[in-house]
Amino acid sequence: MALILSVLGTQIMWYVTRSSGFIALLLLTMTVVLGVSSAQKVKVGKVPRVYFAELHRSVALFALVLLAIHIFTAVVDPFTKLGWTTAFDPFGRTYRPLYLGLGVTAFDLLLTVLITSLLRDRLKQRTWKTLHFLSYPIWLLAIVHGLGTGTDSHYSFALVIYGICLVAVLISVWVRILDSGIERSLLRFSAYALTLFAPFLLLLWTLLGPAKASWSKHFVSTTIPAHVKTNSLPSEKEAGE
Amino acid sequence: MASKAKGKRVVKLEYQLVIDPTVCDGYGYCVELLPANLIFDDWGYPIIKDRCIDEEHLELAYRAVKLCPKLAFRLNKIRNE
Repeated sequence: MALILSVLGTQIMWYVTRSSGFIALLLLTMTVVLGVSSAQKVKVGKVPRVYFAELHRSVALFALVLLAIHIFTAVVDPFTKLGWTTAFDPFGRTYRPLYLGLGVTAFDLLLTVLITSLLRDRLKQRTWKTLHFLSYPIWLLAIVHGLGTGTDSHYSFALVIYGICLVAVLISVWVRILDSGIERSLLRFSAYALTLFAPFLLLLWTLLGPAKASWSKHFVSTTIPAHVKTNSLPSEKEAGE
Repeated sequence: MASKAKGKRVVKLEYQLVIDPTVCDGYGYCVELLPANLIFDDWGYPIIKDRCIDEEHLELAYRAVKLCPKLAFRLNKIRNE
């Protein structure tokens, strides 16, 4: 009975980790889109613009709550053997090290953005804004982390979610670039190049890697059912490194 | 707040809004939040109608402080005795 409960328990953790990750990504995407469009003073009908600014804040905080759940369940899950320090430290992990490390990096950067935003009135406006631009790499890291960790990446529902996120952010960024002034054309040009080049690379990599059903197989850990006893973990450790 | 000092000398707190026009970029959040105090000019920048914030609008005023993308909108607390 206790065994069944513990199996169920770890499985639930695992499902919650995955689903909260997807919801967090969708919320982060929403945050980026809301942030970009309120920065360029988009007006939708008669809706006051301040609603979007407020929504940007609330959705961002909500995304952080979901991320907290995502990370908590991943760490608590006995199968991953992650430990609490690795919730913030992107290095030295044995479980799917690279793509988990990218996720942790994104989380650390996101905390930077959160803290600087909460203390915005005590910072130079420029410092805050520069750090706020970290949101783009954070969002991209989150997508690569999700695709690369790869448990669900070969499912079409997952690819649809990633696609929605990518298209939503790309459209809002392109509108933003088109809308900005003629000055700073170098910045505009590099932004164009980046927004064309990065999605292309992402798409290529996805098709070659995570979208294939065999992708997650090379993480030996995913082929071991979650209820296998801990004595099988050393082999996973070797495979991870 | 101020009404708690019943009978004794009443210290009345007053909140006044301040907008730094050199920093303001015309996002207009403050105008949308505080239509009783502010109106838009023709270019979408705020014009102050009434500096003093009523108690009932105080929360909205704090939100305007928090949300102003340029931190151009501030609240000053003034003690009237």
